[in-house]
Amino acid sequence: MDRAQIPLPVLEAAIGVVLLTALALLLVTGVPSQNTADPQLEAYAQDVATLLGNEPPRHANETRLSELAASPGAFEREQAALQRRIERLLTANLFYQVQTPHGRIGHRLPQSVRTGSATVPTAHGPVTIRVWYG
Amino acid sequence: MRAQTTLPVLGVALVLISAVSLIAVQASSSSLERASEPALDRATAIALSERLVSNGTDLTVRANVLNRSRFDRIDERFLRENLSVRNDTAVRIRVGNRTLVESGAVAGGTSFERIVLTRTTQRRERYPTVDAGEAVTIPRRVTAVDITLAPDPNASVRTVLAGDRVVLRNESGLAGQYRVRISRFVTTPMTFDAIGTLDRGDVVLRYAAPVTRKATLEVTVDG
Repeated sequence: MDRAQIPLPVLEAAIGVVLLTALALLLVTGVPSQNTADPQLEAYAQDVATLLGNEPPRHANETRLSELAASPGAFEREQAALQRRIERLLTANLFYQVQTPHGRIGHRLPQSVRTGSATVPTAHGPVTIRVWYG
Repeated sequence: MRAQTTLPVLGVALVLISAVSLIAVQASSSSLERASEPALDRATAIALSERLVSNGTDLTVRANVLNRSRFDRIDERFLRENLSVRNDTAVRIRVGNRTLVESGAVAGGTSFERIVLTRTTQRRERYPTVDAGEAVTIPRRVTAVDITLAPDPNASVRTVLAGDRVVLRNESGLAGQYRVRISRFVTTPMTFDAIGTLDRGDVVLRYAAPVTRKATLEVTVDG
């Protein structure tokens, strides 16, 4: 009865080889990273949102962004000034779009472009800033 | 004789296992070396920039607004001790065109940029003529005004108002130095209620007017 029987050590070695190879492959190929967010773009958007979100308003409300989101009239009044302000803050190679409850400011967002975004909650609704490389 | 270990087979198995484990360790270590260098530099640069712009440190006035007068505190020692940068990591921090610190030889490396404002303060002095009851307008972003009142014996200042708010009041006359806190979000008209004739220079307002400029903070890490 000692025929047709694989010696146990060889069986164990085979299992060990499979395990080790799997481990090595995992390390070599690595876990696929999610490339949806570019940290640099995220940082640009976050910085602009932080700066505008802490800036005093031009006329009323608490901050510049809450002033923008307050009403359609305030949005109409403030959009040109905010546009100038953001264009001054961002470097020339960056495009941007600001989304408020009353409309959008900035460039048209192209499809399938990698963007960084930051949302500031205000008393009158969220204001989202998106930036991307032009 | 079932499943009996034989010495040659055991030897073959051991050789096989050790060979495979050696190859696996070598392959993974080389792949880790290749992959992690720029990623680590990048993570370090992001973390450093985050700490430099965060609110509540000595360097910032508020989030993303750097205090220009504290720039000389950013040196190599500050990097090693306050930002816990490892000794063998070369770091360069630039604001605009000005290099604040460059520790070690930064050749290439990974850069990370932040959009910031830099703030300096300008001391301003105003000598208003308060007889006509006209207001002195203090610009936005000023948090405190130092008021020096030195009226003649035949004149007195009774009330000082910031906007509608009475900030100083004394029926028998105010004299001396006072510090008044005002809102930084609005322009504040300061008005004086005085009796008698006040000369120019009897009332002096001093305040620090912040001037902010846009700049780019660039952190470069070369591990």
